Amino acid sequence: MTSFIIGIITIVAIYCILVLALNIRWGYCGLLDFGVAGFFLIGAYTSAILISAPSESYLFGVRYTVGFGLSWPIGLIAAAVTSGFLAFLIGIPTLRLRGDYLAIVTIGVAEILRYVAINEKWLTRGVQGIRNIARPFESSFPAASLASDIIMLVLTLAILTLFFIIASRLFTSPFGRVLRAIREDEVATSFLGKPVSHFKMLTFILGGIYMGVAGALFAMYVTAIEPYQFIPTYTFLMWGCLIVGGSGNNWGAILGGALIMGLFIQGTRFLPSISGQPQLIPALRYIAVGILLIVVLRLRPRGLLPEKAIKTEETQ
Amino acid sequence: MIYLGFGIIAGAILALPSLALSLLCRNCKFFNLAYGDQMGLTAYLVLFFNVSLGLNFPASVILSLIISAILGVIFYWVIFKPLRRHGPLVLLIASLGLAFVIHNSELAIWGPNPQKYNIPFETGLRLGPFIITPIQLVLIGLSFALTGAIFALLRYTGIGRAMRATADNLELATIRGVDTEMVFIWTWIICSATAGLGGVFLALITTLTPWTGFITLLFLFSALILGGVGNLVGALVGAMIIGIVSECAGILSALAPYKIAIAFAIMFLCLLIRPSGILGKERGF
Repeated sequence: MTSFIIGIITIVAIYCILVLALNIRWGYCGLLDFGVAGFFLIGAYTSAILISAPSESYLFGVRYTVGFGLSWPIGLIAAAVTSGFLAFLIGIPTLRLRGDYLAIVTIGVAEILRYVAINEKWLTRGVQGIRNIARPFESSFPAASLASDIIMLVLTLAILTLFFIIASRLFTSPFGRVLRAIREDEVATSFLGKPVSHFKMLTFILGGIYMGVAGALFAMYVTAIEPYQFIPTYTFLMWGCLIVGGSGNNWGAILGGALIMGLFIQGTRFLPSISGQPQLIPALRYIAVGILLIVVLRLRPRGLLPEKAIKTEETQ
Repeated sequence: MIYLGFGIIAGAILALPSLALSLLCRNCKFFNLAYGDQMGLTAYLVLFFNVSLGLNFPASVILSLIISAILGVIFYWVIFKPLRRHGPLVLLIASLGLAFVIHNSELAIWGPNPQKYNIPFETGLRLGPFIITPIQLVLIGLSFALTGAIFALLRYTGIGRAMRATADNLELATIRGVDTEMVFIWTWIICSATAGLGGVFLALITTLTPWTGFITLLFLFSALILGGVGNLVGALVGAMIIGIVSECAGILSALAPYKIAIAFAIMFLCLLIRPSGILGKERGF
């Protein structure tokens, strides 16, 4: 039971990092990113491939070579780098255009990455997925033990806290002020002499780094990843968390993540499934999140915890 | 050559929903992400009437298109009209929510397995170098006829002229006495019915799963952006190019699973070189 609760807190904390990243992109700067699952995927697969031990096996005549056996901090950093680089590549053609284009391109790129993970079996083992991904300090604490779960929990919460502090400092910094100005009025901001595309690009890359690290933590936590864990549904769930919690407010992002991913998605796992209809309960859950998203947008567009107004000398 | 034939079929089938999506984006000024799933939903409604209730095929299609049009108007009234004042990006988020509600409703009701309509199986005919089934021929013919009908509607009828005026400048059209509310409702009716028909066409030439609509949406948006958002002829040109190129990529077996990636690569290049699309205006829509 203890390890079960620890597990739920860890997984919800990982999703909270994703919501936080989305908040930096959309809540601060107004960048419409529908590719959360794609950045999450690239982070998870990068770290999984780097961390797992070198192995060669012959399956149906195909030679799989997965793994470099590197240590886990390298996996985390590499996940941040590749995911940030992906953000940079996506940003080049789209960030100078209207926000809608970014949404369409990210939604497609995330889906293409999932096809790559399914089809490039030499690298990702296809739908079988990568298994036996090493957790931190696995030599001393084997993966199934309680100690290993606690290490993962502490590591995840530490990174979440670090990212939260960075995001909060960013919000009140002059950099964050420019981001909010871009969100409110891009043309006016550029007339004030701010390089708008540059700011957008940095924000987009930072969001990518957050999501990549979340992916690496996810791969280490679940120890086995497969393409099905990165379907667009997760992008949509993260949006549900952010909008319900309150975009522009980091506490709102965490609250939304805890409420929807923790209470609603994980908490309703105990419901008995209806025999012969394994898809029914999950589908009904997602329908409820979708309706909640639309209702919040209509009735309380600023979410449960709205963005705080910054105190300045004039407003005091 | 066979692949070129497949490409032309795919392009012709994509052309009709792509045109309607372009019309919807142009009038309502946002990308509707629920469009693909609305296509899928209508195809499933036909399945319900045709297979579960045993109605004949044309009757079920007509019934489903009417329901799709009504649903479109409901979506507009309940979701998109009240949110319009928050701007296009919030509308996009709302349409994402709607897309997932529809997608998961399909999943909950009909399950994840591929479905087929209750129509006789047909063998392919050989037309020169191409292979085509009679149903595909009928669909291509219908697709071109309806495309022509939509253009005629926009050009020669009062509501069509009002639609074009509203798309160009909402305020000016309102001042000139155009009933813009009526225009929006008609736009949603026409585009939803066309979306539904496009979904049925797709379900006829491929298989129908809850993911069909979403995947098609990605092809439609690449076609739209390639052709130039808001340009209706551009949407047709884009659909043909995307259809032909992504099917021809199937010649190389390494690229066969990546049709959607090919479509997106073309769109990516287009955004780099000419963001307004092949036929689009400088400032988009």
